[in-house]
Amino acid sequence: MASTSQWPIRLLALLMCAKALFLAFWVTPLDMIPDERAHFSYVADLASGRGMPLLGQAYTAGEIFTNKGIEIALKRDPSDTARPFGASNNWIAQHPPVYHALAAIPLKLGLMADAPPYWLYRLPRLISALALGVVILALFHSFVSVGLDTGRSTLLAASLGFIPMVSHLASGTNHDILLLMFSSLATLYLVRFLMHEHLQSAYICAFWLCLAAGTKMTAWVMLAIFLVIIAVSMRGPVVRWLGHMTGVAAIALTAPIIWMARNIYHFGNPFKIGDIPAKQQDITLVELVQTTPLFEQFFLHFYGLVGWKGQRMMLQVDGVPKEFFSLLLFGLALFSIVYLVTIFLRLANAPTTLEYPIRSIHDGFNQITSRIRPARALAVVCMLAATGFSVYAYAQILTFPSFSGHVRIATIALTFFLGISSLVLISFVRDVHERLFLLAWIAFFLFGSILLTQIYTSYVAFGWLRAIHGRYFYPLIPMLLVAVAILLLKFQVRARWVAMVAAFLLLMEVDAYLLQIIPHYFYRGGHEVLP
Amino acid sequence: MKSFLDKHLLHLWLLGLLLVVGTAWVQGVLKPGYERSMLYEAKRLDTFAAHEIDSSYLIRQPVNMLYTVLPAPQDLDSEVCVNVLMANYDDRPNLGVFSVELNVDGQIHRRLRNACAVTNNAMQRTCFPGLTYQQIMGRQVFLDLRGVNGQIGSSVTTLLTRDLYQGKAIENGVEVEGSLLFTLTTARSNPSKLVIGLVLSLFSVVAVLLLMTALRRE
Repeated sequence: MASTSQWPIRLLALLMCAKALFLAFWVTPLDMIPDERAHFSYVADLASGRGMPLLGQAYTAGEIFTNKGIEIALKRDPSDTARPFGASNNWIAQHPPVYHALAAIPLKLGLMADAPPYWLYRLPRLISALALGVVILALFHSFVSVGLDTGRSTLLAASLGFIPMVSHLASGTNHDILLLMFSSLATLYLVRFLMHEHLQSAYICAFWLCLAAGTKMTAWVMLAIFLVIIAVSMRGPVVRWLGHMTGVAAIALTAPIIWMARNIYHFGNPFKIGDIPAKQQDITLVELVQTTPLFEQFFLHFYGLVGWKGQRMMLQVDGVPKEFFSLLLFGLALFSIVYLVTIFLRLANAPTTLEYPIRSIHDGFNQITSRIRPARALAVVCMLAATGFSVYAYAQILTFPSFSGHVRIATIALTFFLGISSLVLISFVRDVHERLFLLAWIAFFLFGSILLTQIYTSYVAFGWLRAIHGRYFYPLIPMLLVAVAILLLKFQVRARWVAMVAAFLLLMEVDAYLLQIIPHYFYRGGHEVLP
Repeated sequence: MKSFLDKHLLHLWLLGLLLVVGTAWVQGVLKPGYERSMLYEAKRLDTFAAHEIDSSYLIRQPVNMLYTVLPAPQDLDSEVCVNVLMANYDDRPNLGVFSVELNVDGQIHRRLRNACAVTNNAMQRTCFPGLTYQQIMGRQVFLDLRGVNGQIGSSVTTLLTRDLYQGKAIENGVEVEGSLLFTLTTARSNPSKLVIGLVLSLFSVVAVLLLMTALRRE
């Protein structure tokens, strides 16, 4: 029987918070966090009583992290709409306000206490640092909910906090870690709903989805995927199903509906995110993939991209930490494929007729696909096609070959296979662990496909690669980690191996900070060593 | 192998940490050193040369302290330095002396520089011992380059930028369409890198101990 002791994970969550707070208040220079100046302007607008900034009208001062900047950001009269010299549009005003409203609270308290500017600029960073602790706890409970013991759950949950980019973002004024927190909580209750079929969990999941959607629009894709999963999995008679699904959807969609209504009122476009120029590039998606390091950059930026191009030089974490992380993800992708193949083989040998009452949409699909023999043949064909597509994708993406580049691109190609194959197999499985595992890869694949489409559209319009940040995948990371927890559970991976990987990830983070990030801060980010 | 890992994972990890910290120390990352914080940096936009800094020459650059980066608390008591982009006419052997001055509310802080020590097209650093950031914060400040005994044909010059964020420079009383290409910094002996390194290492040691505790309890 699994140990019920949870104090190590609680202390680890506290430690992560403490580390993020230390970085936030004493280490990470201002403006080193992605878009920090624009996020701070948004927060300052709310804390100063100027209301929610409107895209196109709101601005961020040119030198916001200066003595003059603080007067503009925090002390100007709300009726003063004239833009100061050097100001630019606040592009972050495109985002819904949940994070900024929360971050405005410590800033407002700081203003009321007449705190010095040094602290005023850093007080909003509290929210991300505290959110990281909640992320670790929510992940732990998700893993325990799927049946993993507390030891391995602790080791796996803590590992996320050893990724330099996560620590870096947790020390700044930026909404990505809060989004990760809401996504982790939504995933926790989705897992509980699927494992135990408690309707209450579906409603709580919808609540966290709503807050995630109110934090960043990228969460809307996750919201749609999670709602479909709940709808397909929810059991009961049609009327009851309709009633509860209406309730769950109403809760989850509250934030997006309000935000879309606001966008329609102001801009006539529910999905307004900024001005997109006329088409500039005549390029196909395949050409884009062949000629740019799109996928590899996503991979590397997920692990560590420190700094922000607007003001400071950027650092991509390199060396042994990067190579270790690349090999780790490659190993996890291979491991996932092994599990997927075992699911496939088990299904291939399963009886063709299954007799059980149909109580959900998934049950219905499961009965149909299990009884019709051509469905199995079609599944085999689709999986062969997925294999072919992954090999093709590997060959197309392989623009910048190096050993570790091969590893990263192979990992990405393997995820294509996992996503497509999971889509094929999902209707065949009934086991809840297998379903969760496949759903995680389907969600990742769909989310990634939509993101790729957005990047392609953006490239065509602007003529350069934009938004290739690994942090954009944060809404789906908790679900993928649940898939890893299922792998550990199904293959009975011993805790010592998980501990070894977690400890090495931690060591690599220390390596990245001491040998790369701290020097970067001191040499380029506002501190410079005299010769 | 299993029992070796069970027994020695923590020891191996600590050895790894020692290697990382040792490498950081050897590379000078953790060594407390003299460092500076950049408080203002003019942008290099379409630069052009000013007049030679001969004995009759004065160029004055207003420095609006409102446009400097908010200092960290430790910057307040740190020594102020300026770096100015200068040129020596393609390594011409120059003679004479000029002064770099900070005029703070009319009080002049002067440092003399030898023209022969100026390198071509490079930032020339001048620090003002005893003058701290706190003493110039919120004050009316001008950065002056003043010729002392230089002659035309054997003096150095400075380069101006079109970045007018700090206002136009005044050359012998006449405003020009450029600004001195300068940075304002503070310099101090800073042990903070060592402290940061030690605190992060301590966090990681506590974290790995908690990981090992979670492992042992299974």
